[in-house]
Amino acid sequence: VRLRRRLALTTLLSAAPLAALLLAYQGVVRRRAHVDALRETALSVMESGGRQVCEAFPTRFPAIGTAGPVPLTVEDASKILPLVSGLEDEIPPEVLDAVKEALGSTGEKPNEPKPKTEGPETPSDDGATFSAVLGPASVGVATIVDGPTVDSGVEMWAYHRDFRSSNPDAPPFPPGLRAAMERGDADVSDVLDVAGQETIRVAVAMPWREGPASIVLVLAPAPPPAAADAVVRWGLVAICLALVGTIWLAAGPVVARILRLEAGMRASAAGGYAHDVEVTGRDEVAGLARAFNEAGAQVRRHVAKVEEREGALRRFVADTTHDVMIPLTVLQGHLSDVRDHARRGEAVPPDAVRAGLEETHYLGSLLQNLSVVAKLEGGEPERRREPVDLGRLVERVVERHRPLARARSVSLDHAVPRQPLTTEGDVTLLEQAVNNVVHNAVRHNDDGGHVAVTLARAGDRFVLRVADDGPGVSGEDLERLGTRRFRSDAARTRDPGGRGLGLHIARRVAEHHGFDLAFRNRAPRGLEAAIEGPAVAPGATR
Amino acid sequence: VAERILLVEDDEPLGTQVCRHLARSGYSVDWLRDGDAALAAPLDGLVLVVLDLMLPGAYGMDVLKRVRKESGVPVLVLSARNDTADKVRALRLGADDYVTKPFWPEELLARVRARLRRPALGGEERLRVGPFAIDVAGRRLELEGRRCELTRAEFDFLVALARRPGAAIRREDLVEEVLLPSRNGSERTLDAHASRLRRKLGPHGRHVRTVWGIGYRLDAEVAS
Repeated sequence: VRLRRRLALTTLLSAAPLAALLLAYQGVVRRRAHVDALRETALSVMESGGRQVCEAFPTRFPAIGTAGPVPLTVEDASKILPLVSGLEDEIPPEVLDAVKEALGSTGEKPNEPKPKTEGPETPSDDGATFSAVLGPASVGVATIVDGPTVDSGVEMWAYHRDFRSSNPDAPPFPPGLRAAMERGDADVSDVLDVAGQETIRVAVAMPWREGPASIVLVLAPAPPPAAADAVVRWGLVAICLALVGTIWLAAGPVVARILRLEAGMRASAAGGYAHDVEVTGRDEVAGLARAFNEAGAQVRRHVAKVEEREGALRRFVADTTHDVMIPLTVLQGHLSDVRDHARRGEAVPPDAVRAGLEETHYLGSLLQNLSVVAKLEGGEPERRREPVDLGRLVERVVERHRPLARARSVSLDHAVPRQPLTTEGDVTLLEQAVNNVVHNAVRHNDDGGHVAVTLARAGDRFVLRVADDGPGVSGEDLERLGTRRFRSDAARTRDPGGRGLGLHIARRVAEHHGFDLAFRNRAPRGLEAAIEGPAVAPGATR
Repeated sequence: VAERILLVEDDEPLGTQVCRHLARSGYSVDWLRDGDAALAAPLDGLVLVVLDLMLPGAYGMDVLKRVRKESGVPVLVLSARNDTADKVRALRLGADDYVTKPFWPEELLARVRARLRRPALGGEERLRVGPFAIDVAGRRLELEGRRCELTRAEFDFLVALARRPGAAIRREDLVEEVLLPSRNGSERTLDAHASRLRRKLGPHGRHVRTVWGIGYRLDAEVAS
């Protein structure tokens, strides 16, 4: 729900300034239109007779008469008449006649100035009539003679080119506008703010640029701001609300789906990612659900692998504990035998010492084999590929077995090439494999027998042979040597035949590395094991 | 003067045992029980460092790095872990060899000796192995100061063995090295050469040993 609220709020927050901007823009446009209208009015008033009126009555323009219905003097009327002479067609003839008649009563020479008589020469409604006579064809004159007010609150004043007015009532020309006009602008405008009452001032340079009506200043109250307009105001509010409402409604189903997905994810996570979440539709939410399912599958795979390894480790520890106890017990027996002899001051029985040593050797070998089994059974995914110096490996294995061989009077020899011979693989696994094969050869030989370990390069491969002159293996068993599947039981039996676990591991390691391991009987007697695999070209490694 | 070996091992009984065996074999041993001490130990005059990787204080690998940085002395690593990554890392960091625990004392000594075995003096031209003084280029053998006449094959046979005293050499390799390919030599021919050589060497002929399943060897005891 928070997402929905946020969306609505964001919409509202972005729509409000937009509406304000719209209002401001509209205000500007409106004001500009107003200014344009005022300018046009000024131009049209002045062009359609205003100029002549002004030039005829510069000191009184635009209020030629007094305020209100203007009582025109005969003199004034006679001045005005020629101004509208071109407009006779549009003035109702009877009215024109009436005026002419009124003028005619003053004498034959209308052009000659007459002393002004006090009091209305013509009835006041004559002035109104005159005014009516002149409009609408000559709107300029008609309105101007009504007074400075053109229409609701609009005033119009005329100035000379030097921004001076012949009419003493005219306000001083605004200096700001004057400066702008002096820079060459044909018309300028500004807004005068007096006590919150805004007045638009428009100054228009007349195209004739001479006389008392060179420049006209129009003063008009500013139009009310658009925001004051109820339609605009409520319209904008309505649009904003509609937007928010739309977003609110549109986000509803999406939010509902996200909530459903979240519930599904929580349920899945609580169940150890055993179940996938439901995927509906083809949009981003569905994509999210699919991605979650993929992640869940990965977690399941990972957990399964970890559990498998943990199981292998647990089995290893359990097996090891069990397996180690037996040789340890035997070793303890031998040692206490030795101690008893020593206590009695007798010579230590060599057999007990030898057997004890063999037990320790067996123990070490057993632990190492079990650890290799755990590694192989645990499905170690990464296959190590490191350079392994096989000569060194053979030397280490042979040194390890020398004490055992000596104890059994078995001669153990080895030959490795002078140049280092390297292959790639896991040194621990390979060493254990060779160790097992050599151990097998020493352990199952007769006293006084021989074991020879040779390492040689054959082209781009290495051949590691372990030969003995022991009893060998019968043909049928030879095939199966080391192929028996390892079960944990196999490690527990003391393996009197002895070729079980160790050789099985050797075979597994060879397979793991892609090496060949083969056994054959030697003539006249004995067994030979050969491990073959690719050798790293000499000089490729250090 | 005994050759000095630095042993870095925290386990008291194991350290004592290793010390005893090394000392019995004629080495003088400096024993440090933790890594931080090993980081500060002077390396001058050492012929070998035996380093346990699992140490209190500074990690064994750090000690190894320090030794490699400051000295060319060979390092033999003792590792309790049967872990390939560790061994590979130690070898990469410049360890010369490793021994996995548990090990026989003889096993360790053999590795130590293998590290300290120096090539025969005089390079390839003159080999000196026990009573044998061999001028390879001049094709002359002196036995306890007396000239000993050998055939070409016999001389080559002896040189092949003397180049790696104590190491068994395969018959196949000896055939290749000693017998001329044109003569179509066989391993049987090789054995004939060997028995004639033994006779010519008199009492020292027993040092040329037959190795079962492999070939021949010049006794290691003669060499050392």
